[in-house]
Amino acid sequence: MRLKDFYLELSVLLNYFQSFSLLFARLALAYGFYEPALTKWRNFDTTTQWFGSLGIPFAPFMTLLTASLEIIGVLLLVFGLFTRLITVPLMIIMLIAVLTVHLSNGFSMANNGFEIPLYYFLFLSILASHGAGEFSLDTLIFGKGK
Amino acid sequence: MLAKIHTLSKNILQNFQSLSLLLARLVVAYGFLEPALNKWKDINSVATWFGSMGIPFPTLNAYMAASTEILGVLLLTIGLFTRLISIPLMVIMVVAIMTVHLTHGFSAGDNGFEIPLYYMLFLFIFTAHGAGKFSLDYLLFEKKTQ
Repeated sequence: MRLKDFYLELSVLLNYFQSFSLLFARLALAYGFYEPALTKWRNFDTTTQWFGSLGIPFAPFMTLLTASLEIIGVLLLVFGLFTRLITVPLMIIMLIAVLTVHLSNGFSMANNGFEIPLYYFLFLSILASHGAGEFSLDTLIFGKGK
Repeated sequence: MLAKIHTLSKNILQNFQSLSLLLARLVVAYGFLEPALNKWKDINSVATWFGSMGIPFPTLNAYMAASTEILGVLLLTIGLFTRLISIPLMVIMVVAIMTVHLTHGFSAGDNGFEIPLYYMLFLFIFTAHGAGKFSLDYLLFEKKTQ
């Protein structure tokens, strides 16, 4: 079957770009988390009050936890180190952000809806399941494996 | 110890590869649906708009973009020719960034290139990884060769 052969040949070719696509997604995510992370550290008390007003329990502790995970996330995503481990808590942060802040505003980013945190959640879930790709410390240190 | 944690998280999380690709496909398809429908509803003003941005053959390109987008919605949803359709959709995103969004900077709040960039990254991931197992691509082309 011609179409099937063509599709499989094409797949073999395009598979070479897997690690590039994962690298670009990692860098975009790291860039996206950079500003929110810094803002949380700079305005720690305001963030704590804000978390409290959203009904998040143990607001000071949760602020510390979130701000730490986000800034560590930026670093680890850039280097591709412990990628699977850091993406899972970041996914949880995105989920909480959607539920507490964005969900009532609908989908669209224009209304502060859950569009962008959803995209982040999806990128993170792809990285969690696929790993960081070959251009990463994970591959350098732990090997490709199977 | 760290290597063990790495391997363990990898063994668990890589089971979710197809699920993460499915969710991302559905969300990207949803994202293209409204722009695609809007283009079809008023293709003439799209052509005028394209012309005003200096895109050559604006009428032809309006039809091309509108067709590719609506086809993309369909194919991404069912996961058919996923790698193939992702490529022209990426081109559309690049053109959108260059002609509309680049001058507004990064942030989506200022109509910057943030969201089209995320779409481009998702599409690049689809091109490189395919649609995953929950797709017609897998059923038609890949299943027996695995």
